[in-house]
Amino acid sequence: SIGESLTPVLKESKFRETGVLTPEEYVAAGDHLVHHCPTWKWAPASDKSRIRDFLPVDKQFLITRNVPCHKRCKQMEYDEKLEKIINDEEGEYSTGDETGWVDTHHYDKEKTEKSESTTTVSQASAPAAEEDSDSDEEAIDLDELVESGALDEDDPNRFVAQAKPEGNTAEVEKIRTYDLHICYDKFYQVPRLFLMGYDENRRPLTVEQTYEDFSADHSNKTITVEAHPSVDLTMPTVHPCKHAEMMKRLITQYAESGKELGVHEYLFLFLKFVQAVIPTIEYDFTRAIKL
Amino acid sequence: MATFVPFITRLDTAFWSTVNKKSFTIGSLTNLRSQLQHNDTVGSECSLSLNHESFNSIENSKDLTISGSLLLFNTAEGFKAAATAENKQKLLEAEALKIWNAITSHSWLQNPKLLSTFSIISFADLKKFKYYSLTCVPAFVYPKDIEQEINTVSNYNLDDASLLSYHKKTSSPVFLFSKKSSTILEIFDLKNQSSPDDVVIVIADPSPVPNTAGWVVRNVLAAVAHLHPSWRHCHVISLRSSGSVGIKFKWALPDEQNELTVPKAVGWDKTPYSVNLRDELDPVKLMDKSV
Repeated sequence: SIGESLTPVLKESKFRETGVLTPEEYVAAGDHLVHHCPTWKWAPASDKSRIRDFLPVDKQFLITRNVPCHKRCKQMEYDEKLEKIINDEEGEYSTGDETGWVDTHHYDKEKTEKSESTTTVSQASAPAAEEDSDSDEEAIDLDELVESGALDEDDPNRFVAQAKPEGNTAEVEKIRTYDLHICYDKFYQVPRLFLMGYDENRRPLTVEQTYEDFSADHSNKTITVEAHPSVDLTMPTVHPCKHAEMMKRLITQYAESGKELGVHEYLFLFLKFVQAVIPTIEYDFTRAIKL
Repeated sequence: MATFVPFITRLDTAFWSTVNKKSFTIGSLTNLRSQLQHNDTVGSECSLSLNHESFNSIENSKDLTISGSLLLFNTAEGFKAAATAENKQKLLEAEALKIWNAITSHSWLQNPKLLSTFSIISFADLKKFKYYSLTCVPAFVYPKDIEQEINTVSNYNLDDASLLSYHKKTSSPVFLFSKKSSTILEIFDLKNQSSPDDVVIVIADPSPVPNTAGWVVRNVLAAVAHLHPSWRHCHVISLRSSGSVGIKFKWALPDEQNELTVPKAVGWDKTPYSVNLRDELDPVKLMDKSV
């Protein structure tokens, strides 16, 4: 973006004072994350023209793939008591306050995580979008292809998932998956989350479908669809304009509990804050910091 | 009867975006590489994830990877012809022969990655942004009548964590643990073993299914059965970061099996995959969105 190209690379460390991160600090924090949570990996740019020279060539952004997402946000048991507005200013519960960040599952994550998924709701919204504008005929009839390509395979050793015996659905559990990307946003000088979702048939989710996995508090005001800096795609992203401010607050809060956050731990805290936005996406937050 | 969890190919949007941009020679092979996740917890299949990085042929020794090839067509006819039962069988046999050669020549003992490969045939309808693909991951139906018995890892008197850290350090997909000396050995040492009860074969396994090994284990068993024709069982650790599984596999050998006949192989996807990425990749659509 133009804004980004005009912003000089941040040199001086000031994350504790302002919540922003230099590229070097982002790399250090990323290395720490990859080391402790092996599901996260560094990724290079999709082609040479996209290499951002203030980051190492092989460490352009962080990614974790195929993260399961079993249910939609509205299927979660919502309990106000679990909620904590992370905002140290007086105006509590002022929903109009753009700066307040609601940690929707602050007090008891385990409980909500374990809650039985109610699979019925998810099916309603799924297809619909498929066959709208694309009326042009299919180049390949898949059914025909399956038939002509059928091998008379006799393979006694192939594992076939059994339908769950209990419960009301006879279906094998089918779940959405997400690829989560953490890029460095040069303009806002903070990490920035991009998400690419796939349905149970491994097809990309529409933006509208993706919104079902954002908590209601965030989906309208903080999620936008934008170009990924390192891959030639647009995807939903949590807009970073409030990140630095939020991170500064979290860092302060962390300090108040008597601990000092090392810059390499920055992304753990960042993921903690991301978890409030995408509460049902089960990425590896085993190391996430408890506030 | 022991069963093995098959692969499911996950081709992400960035993968197809790369297909669109690179000019591939139609009908010739492009080499691919996929990172295997041994911490996968999604669903009941092993993920074979391909993305923009998969075209990068430089091997990063730190990752557990499986290599393969893409056969790309630009016409529906070309793809349909390749996807007939007869041609799929031909491709499968050709790939299985390469693996069998690695087994009979013992070169797999130097490089166990030779046991696992995949082939994808694909049709990219570049004008409509529609993509079709079909994957084959060859596995031998050999030895026969494989049975399994689950053992807890602690039964083997070994330490899961040290196996994982050895695997991470060396990125060996297959290695040995000597029960006699309680040490880790390279897979090459399997040659010198006389009793199947002296060693445990450790296999990095992307299977997410408890107590069921992944597809990659099949060709290792074939190789072991061929290397030691007198053995009728072996001990395997299905190495997973989510908790490894100890499995004793027992089998019979087919009545007629000599060096010259390649055992029957299986491994094609049962159904083709198709995806419409107009919303994600069509420049016209993207223009609309950004306004």
